[in-house]
Amino acid sequence: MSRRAAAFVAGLLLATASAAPALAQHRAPGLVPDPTSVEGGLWGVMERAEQDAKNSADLNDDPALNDYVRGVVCRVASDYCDEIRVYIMDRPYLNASMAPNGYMEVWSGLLLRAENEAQLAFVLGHELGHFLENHSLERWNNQKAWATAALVISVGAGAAGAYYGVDTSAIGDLAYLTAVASVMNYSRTQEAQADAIGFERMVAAGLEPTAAAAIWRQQQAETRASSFRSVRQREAMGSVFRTHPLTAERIAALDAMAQEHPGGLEERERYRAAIRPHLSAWLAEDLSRRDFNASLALTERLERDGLDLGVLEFHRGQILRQRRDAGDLELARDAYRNATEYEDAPVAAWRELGDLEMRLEDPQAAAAAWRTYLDRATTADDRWIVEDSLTALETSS
Amino acid sequence: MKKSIVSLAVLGAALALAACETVTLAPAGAYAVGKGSNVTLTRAWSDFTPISGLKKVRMLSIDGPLLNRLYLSEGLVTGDYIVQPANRREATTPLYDSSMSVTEQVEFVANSVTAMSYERVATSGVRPVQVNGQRGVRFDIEAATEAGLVIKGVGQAVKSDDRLFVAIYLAPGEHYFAESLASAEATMDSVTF
Repeated sequence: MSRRAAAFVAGLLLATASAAPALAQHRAPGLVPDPTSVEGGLWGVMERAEQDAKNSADLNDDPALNDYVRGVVCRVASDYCDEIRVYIMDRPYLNASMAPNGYMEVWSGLLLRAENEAQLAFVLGHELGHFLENHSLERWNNQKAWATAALVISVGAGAAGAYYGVDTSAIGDLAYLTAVASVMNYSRTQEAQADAIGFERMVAAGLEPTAAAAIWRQQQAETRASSFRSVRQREAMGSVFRTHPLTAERIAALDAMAQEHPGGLEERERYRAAIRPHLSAWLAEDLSRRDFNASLALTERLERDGLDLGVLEFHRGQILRQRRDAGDLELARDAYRNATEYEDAPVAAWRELGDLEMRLEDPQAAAAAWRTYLDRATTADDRWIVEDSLTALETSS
Repeated sequence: MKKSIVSLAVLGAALALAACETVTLAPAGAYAVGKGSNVTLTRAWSDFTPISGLKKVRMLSIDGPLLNRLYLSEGLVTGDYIVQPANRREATTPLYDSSMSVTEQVEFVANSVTAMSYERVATSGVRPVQVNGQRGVRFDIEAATEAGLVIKGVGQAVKSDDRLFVAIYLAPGEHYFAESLASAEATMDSVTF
């Protein structure tokens, strides 16, 4: 390409880059946009999404849990609390999201992975940050500006190529890739800004500053433990197209912020008490991802507090039994044995223990576990299966 | 959300392939499921298997897969799936193992229904069943679509010579489940292997 053609394209790039929108101002409480504006249109879309959330099979409508999570939202949102509507969705991934109209989703995968109220408050504060800074609108405008820029550059480069008699198709491709990378990069800036807002709001609520980095550190460890190569690679992939800052970068930034603040409350026991009624169901949902190693890492971390050990050891047995790697059945049996030592063990622990003792050739232990199951599960519809197993055992001995 | 996107992608791919692969008639009477496994249909069903992406499993329907579907497997052996994972190298859907207990067979079927993108899958009414001279297990299924539609179903697992023969009937709880239940259960009763 000639220098004059290159100068023409560079001029176009500069002109369109300067057309990219600047960061919006902090929104005012109680803001309602003009329905005919771009933001009004975005609100309309989000209202329809919110209606879908209300009808979703995933919606968790437990009043106690909803009250608790809403309380944490208000703890960080303060004067914006009345504008936010929280929907807890039973979905086994660490996620929360916030729409510009105040519709917030909190997924059970986040509630399961947060270790305390401070960690939850940080993530919810992060989502609030997107809301306060009108990031949805910014992203919309940004994407529009860069799409226009890419189109103008491609057309301009084509015209320049025709005029100067050179092939400029690579310029069009470059313009497109630059536009896509710019949108993603802009999003990374927003994420870092939302992290800072979440951190400030959490600390202002009197909560522990180190909790912010801690939840990303935990997630980093779980990702590294994953059974799936594609998941393990996710964190390592450094690319201009990544939409979130790499976890290591976020952790470093949040650690630096935490060093400048005194300690606060974690509210660890209160948090566990709030999620306890859902712990078994959420752990079972997590297992449906079949990412056994990640589930094990999560379960072992949850066990560190020494709470809910009957439920957690039973779940550890479930993971190992379904993973079926060499030696897993013995480990699963040991986990079920551990579970039965605690009062909160699900009754199914004795059935599973009996099945594994039998498979591992200890018929006496199997019979004992099965009998305990039959004593405790008086109305279970699968009693006949256990009775069949006992009968077969007694007949053979 | 991710599951929905994958499901839509699979559906899209299935529709794209529909030009080459077609739904066929499964007439009333004897119908071959797969290697050495047959059923007797009490009425005509449509066989959606060619556009389903399933292996070792047939998918029949009367009014279309959203309104009723009957999955019938040939004998599954260790390492087989009911629902194939999106990535062959990552077992994100349940894998059969011939050492599974009866309780684990029920769990395998229920987890496979979850892998079909149904939500809140639960089993109840676990009961013994006699099929082709073998004692197996039959149970009720309740689930929901992501949009909240209640789905009811019946599952069955019968093991013979280390091979597991699975049947799953699913339909919306409103009208469609009851409408085709008798035909679905008669088909489950008729499995031979």
